[in-house]
Amino acid sequence: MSATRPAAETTRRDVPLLAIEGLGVVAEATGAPILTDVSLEVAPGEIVGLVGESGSGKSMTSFATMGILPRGVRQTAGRFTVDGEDVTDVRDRSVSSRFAMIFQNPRDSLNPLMRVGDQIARIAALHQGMSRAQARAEAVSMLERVHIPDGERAARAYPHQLSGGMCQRVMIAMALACRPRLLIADEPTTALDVTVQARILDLVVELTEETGCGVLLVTHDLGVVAETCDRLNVLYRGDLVESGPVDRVLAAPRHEYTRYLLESANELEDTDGAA
Amino acid sequence: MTALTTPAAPDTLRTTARRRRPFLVLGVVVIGALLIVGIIGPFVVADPAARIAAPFLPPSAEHWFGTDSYGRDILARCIHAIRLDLALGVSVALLAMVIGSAVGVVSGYLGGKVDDVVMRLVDILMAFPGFILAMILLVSVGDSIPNLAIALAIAQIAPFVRLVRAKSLSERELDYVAAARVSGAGWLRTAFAHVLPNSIRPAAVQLTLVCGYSILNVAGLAYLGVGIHPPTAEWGVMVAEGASNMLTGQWWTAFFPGLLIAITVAALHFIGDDLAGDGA
Repeated sequence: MSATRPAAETTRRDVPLLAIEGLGVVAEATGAPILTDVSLEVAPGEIVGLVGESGSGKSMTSFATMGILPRGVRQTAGRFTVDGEDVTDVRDRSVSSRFAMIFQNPRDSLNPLMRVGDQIARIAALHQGMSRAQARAEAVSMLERVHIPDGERAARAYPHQLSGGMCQRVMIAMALACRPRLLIADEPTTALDVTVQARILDLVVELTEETGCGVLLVTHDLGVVAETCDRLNVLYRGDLVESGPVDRVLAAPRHEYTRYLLESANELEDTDGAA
Repeated sequence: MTALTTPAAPDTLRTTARRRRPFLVLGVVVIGALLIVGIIGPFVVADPAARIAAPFLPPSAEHWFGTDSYGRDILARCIHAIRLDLALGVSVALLAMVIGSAVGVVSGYLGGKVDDVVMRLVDILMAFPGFILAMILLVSVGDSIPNLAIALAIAQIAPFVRLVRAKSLSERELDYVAAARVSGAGWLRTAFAHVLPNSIRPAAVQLTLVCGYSILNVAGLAYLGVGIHPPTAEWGVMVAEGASNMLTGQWWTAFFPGLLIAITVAALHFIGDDLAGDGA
């Protein structure tokens, strides 16, 4: 695990890859706000953490960014820019290959009736205009790129024949096949066991360095954030309560809720140590 | 660390194959036998329209099922009817499944107003008994075999729509559907390439059942004088023609075609029931 990542420090800040400004999302039925005035930025090659407890609006932020808000939830405010270009209109974002997303539960994220190679190939064909054979070869090379041994064989497997960690690698391979500028990872390791978690995070970090794409890492695990992220945003009940470089936020949290989050994480660690 | 866990799959396949499924086997054997006889039979047995013997001969070694009021061989007519009855049953069921599943997946996947409109239309369809609906349609567009198939199919669409819609409602919430959407697939592609294949299973079970109903309906309509008419060799027509002879003691004219309807429908239901019970 690379705790220090100098590349990201130098490439960031000129023009942010993704900028979200004043995002507001409400539940249609009750009018209750889900997100109010959330703003954040991701620079190329940077991994930005988005943390908060369940229901704080982490996933809603990523859904809104991808333009896949669930039924009954509506975006009321907010501007999105990618590389300085205004993409506030959902149609400019969702179909573009600039964004890719990986989900919490890797098993549910793959179509159970399609071979994983075909699922990756289909995306490669769609986004890179490849022929069937090219897309197929691309799928195998993407599988090997995410360190799946024997990509040829893995490409012929159905999702139920793969472990959870393997499925998440396949999801990452699918995301890579879009050649994304930004990867949104919505709790990518929550459903995996700890050793697999570490490997998947390593893979995300490695690919970020290789491709220079930005990552918005949604998680509730501060340990994950400390190890992988450059900057950190803390959401609490739909409000962005704190944001800043990971080292600063974790060492000297300014907001009461961040302190509370840190304390609970530390408490857990202490109990683990005693046991 | 990242070995494929392939052994799991053969294991599951093996246990499924080993389970005893007597009703499935029985159903498949009966339908298979009917198909073989239906394909080969007409080249072997007598012309179904030929008056080859005296009228109303009871079953005998020469005429296994006896002869009818015109002296036609009932066995020959029953065998000639297999093709028509099975073809009608299968085409009606397939047509209803294709239309119903397409409508169902769109309705379930899109939801909202589209779903409301589709479900009210389905309610209207279901308000009429299928048999009566098919009869009304057939009488209004005119009797012919293709029209008969279409009318019966329309009458059977509703359950397919409801089954596939219900499954796609739960299927559309899974992450792979969201993953397809964020990767740039449009709603049509997402609905038909991702949601539909994962929602079709209940409809496949319904297919076998509708196949059976349709043969019954064809026979029923023919009995009422709609759809297929004498002298076409068709089981329902034969039952209709033979029904009056029952009273005068020539039971075999209606009994054997009726028995074939019963056996075929039962076999199709055995297959359907088995598929439905298999953890669908």
